[in-house]
Amino acid sequence: MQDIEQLKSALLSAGYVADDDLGTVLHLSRALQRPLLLEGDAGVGKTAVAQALADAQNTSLVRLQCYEGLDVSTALYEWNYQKQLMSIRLNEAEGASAQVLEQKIFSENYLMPRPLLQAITADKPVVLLIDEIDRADDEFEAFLLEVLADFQITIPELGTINATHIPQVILTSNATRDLSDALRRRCLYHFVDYPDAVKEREILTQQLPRLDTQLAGSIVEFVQKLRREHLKKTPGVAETLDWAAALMQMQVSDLEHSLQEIEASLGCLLKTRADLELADTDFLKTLSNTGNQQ
Amino acid sequence: MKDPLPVAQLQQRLMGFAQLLRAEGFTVNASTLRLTHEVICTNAIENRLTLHASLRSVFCQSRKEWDIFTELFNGYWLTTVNDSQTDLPALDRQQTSAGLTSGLGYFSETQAQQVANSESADSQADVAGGGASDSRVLAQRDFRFVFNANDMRQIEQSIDVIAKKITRRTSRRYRIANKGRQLDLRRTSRRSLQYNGWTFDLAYRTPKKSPAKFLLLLDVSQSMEVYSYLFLRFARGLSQKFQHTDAFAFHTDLVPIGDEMKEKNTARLEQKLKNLSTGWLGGTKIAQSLSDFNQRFARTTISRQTIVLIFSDGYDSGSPEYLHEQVLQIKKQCRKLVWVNPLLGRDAGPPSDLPIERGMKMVVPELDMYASAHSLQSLRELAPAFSY
Repeated sequence: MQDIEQLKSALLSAGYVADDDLGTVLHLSRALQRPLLLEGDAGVGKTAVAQALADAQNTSLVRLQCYEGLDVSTALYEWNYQKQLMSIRLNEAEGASAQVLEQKIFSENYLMPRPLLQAITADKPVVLLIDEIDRADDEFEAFLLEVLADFQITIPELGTINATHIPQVILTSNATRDLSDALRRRCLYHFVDYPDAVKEREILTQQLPRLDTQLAGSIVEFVQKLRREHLKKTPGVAETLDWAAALMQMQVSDLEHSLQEIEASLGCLLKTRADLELADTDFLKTLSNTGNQQ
Repeated sequence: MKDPLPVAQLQQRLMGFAQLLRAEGFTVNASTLRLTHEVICTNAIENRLTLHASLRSVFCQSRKEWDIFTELFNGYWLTTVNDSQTDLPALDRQQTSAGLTSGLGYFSETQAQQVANSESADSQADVAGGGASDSRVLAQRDFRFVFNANDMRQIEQSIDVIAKKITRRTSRRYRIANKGRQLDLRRTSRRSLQYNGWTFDLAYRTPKKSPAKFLLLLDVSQSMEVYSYLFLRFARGLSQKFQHTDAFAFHTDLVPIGDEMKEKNTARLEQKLKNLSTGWLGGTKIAQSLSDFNQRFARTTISRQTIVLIFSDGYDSGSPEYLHEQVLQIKKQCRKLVWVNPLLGRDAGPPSDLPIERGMKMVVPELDMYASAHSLQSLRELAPAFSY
């Protein structure tokens, strides 16, 4: 319990407000050396968990951003072809044998480690963030299973490289597609939901210390009401922070009497044309009226 | 901070919890259990909150599971662990047995055991408190006198097992014409292909089993309060085992619950029943309800292959003749009519000639079987009722 509390306060110092559940799961993930799968809508702070965790543990964050078509060479390692070519030319001129040449150009000097290899060969345990795994192909997901199970990577020319330290792995997913059962089974699971008003206010105060407390309360109330509407893209915590920063820049002190500024800065919160069209003046007036609960 | 539960004790309870989750559709396999064991061996588990967060991260693999996990967790752990150990926000415990009269909201184990626990406060002197009972004693104990939450859980599990153990009936034709095995010509000729058409290897017909058809009529009135929950549970087990099972609950009205009984998710089932349960645990109009059934549902739910089981104590506020007439009408349409009366196994009081008892006296001769089901043992003895 003490460890969990310590972890939570370290995360808070790193700028992330973690609740008890998340603190417990992060602690377990570290203690059991199990990958943690964070699932939730975009903008709820999944990626920020990994960044804050790395800061909290005073270690580095290695990030692998997944996308459709991501292949092993981008995730694992690549040979530095230009350097190898140059070396071949130079050695040919010196008259080196083909065997010596081959041994030379397929050595670690010519290897460009990509995030997965970087993470397992780091000098100290790092936080490995595999971001938006749901965007990667099924084939890559299957390959990832192997890496996460053994924490070792085989390079045909060099042999098997074992992890010097097992990294703390955080996978995030926006649930745009179903991940395989095999991957889910290997991970601890945590669903990151939109924060409630109290937590969101705490996040605002933590991230924007210069923000007026009353304004922070109004912003949170506005956003919480907005999330209850049927929007195409529900604003996440990141959007709330952006909007609060924008309002601070516009020197807004009271939402109720700043309808013009709200309209002008609404692009920070609403990211689709349909949502912006929904937010007419009356609608915004209702949301910004703090005394009028919907 | 309270002392954490011993690991061995926690492990044992976790197995039960894992079984519950599996029944609710969670993927629980050996690796999940191993991970659970690893989790509880860490220093993270110190109270219910951390146990909840840890188990949720292990057992849940999707948002859907995440959403129902907490309800299942509360349902399981708040009943088996001492209340003094809990540090979760206390559940609404106002639903005592008296408070349940507004509706049958006690299908979940939690609430059923709350009923048991609340009743135990009134009659502690009658029972030996403490740990689990000897299973033999438990099998014979009247459901009324089960106050220990563990015993109640055992009974519930046994009821599920009994309901699911009822085997499919063997096709009648084979039982009557059992004068030797019948040759299966189609399979025999198929087998003869490998011997160049010579029939060396004969194939015989094996008796096929056809699914049984059941119709359950459950009394959920106040007088059946102690038993109706367990009978509902039994009905649920039976409905899920046998496809052709329909169920109705009755009190002063008749409510079809066949579709609900097929629901495997306890939380959703409870919710569905809550929506239907207005007036449950109130008065009884058995004859009126049976008449309603005969008029509205009998034609589509009863056939000559259906075994009808009525779970009721027979306390009816209507006229005995009317009840007799309705029972006779059901009897004419079904294969077998069984009346399960939990009061039958109790120590009989002095005979009386009240209308409520006269009703049953008139009905009993019409029944194919009149049995008690006040204890596990008597429920097991019901087996003949399920055969043709």
